[in-house]
Amino acid sequence: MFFRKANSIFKKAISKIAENISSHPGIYISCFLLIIAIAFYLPSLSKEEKQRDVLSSLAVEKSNLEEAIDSLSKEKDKLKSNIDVYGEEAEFWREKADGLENYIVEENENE
Amino acid sequence: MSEHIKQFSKFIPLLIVVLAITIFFMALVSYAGISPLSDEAFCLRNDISGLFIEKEALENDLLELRSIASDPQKEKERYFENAMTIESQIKEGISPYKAAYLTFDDGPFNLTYEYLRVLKEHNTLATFFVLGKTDYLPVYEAIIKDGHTLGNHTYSHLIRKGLYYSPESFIKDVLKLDAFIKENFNYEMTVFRFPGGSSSSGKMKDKCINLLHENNYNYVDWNSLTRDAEIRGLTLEQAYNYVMPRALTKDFSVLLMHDFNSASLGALPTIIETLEENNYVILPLFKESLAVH
Repeated sequence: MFFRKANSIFKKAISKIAENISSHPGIYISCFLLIIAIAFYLPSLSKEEKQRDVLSSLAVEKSNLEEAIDSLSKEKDKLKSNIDVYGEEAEFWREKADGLENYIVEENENE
Repeated sequence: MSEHIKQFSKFIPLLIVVLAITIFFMALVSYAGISPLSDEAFCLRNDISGLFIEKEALENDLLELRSIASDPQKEKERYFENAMTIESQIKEGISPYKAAYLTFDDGPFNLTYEYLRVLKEHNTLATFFVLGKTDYLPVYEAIIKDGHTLGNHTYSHLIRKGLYYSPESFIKDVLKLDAFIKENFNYEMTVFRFPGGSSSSGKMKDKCINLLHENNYNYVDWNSLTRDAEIRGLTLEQAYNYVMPRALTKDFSVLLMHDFNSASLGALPTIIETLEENNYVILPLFKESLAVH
């Protein structure tokens, strides 16, 4: 009973509104503006989607970079500790190995 | 109610215009790239460019560090690769140089430190054929630390007391020293010298050599010596005169000395200088060396 009454009031109100606004000249202008606005807005929705894609790829790139930096930092620390531990010994053998290179005859030197 | 609807209807075009303006504004914001998403992208791009700079700086640091923090083992391998190249060129006759190997037997002794000092002063590497001496652990360590080759000369050197009794007794003594050195210094010996020379093993020589090869050893004798283990009261001039004339006739000259002897120690600087003046490259022995068998 209550639903039927509410339904008839709503229908009446809608028809009244339609009757009133159809005679109002501003309605056509405002509808025209609305359509233009919607037409203008719709392409921006796809742009937003693209932006989300860009964002996720940027986030992936950032996390890859962070991982790369992390592994580079670890390698740097390892090398630093190697320098402390083995630096002198490596330097010793490098100098020796370089020194021996002076006694190696180059192939073209012999020709 | 009809009056209320009438009033409300008047505002509907206005509401539609407001709605249109709002949508229009949202579209403008989106096109102008000033949405929250754009801000986030801007921040991320900033972060990424900062990270790129950080990564580049780290890579540059690493390049620099790698050049000074090379692995000592790799450099050592490069040294011995160069030594092998030099030896091959000498053997092929395409090198103006010759190779000399300074070897010191029966150590270590207290005097070994003096030998190490002279070798260091002359920037020369040598080979020490050592025995098993538990009281001289720091001397072994000093030899290894200075980069010289530690060679196996058996644990006991008991030539006439059972070393060459059988191939088994021989290799047992060799491996005893091998284990002693490995255990104390984590050092792997690969070059061997028979006490008394390979001929001292007599008829067992081939079997002993096979056993040595099976245990990752090559052996070396000598082709000139200071005679510091034979002659009492040897002078440094005598030591020099015994060893040098013969040493200078060889392309691969293996000089035998004993690091307990002060005459050989006194002659050592002149021996090194003479070898160098005569185009000898002084090398430590190593398993792949053409001077070892």
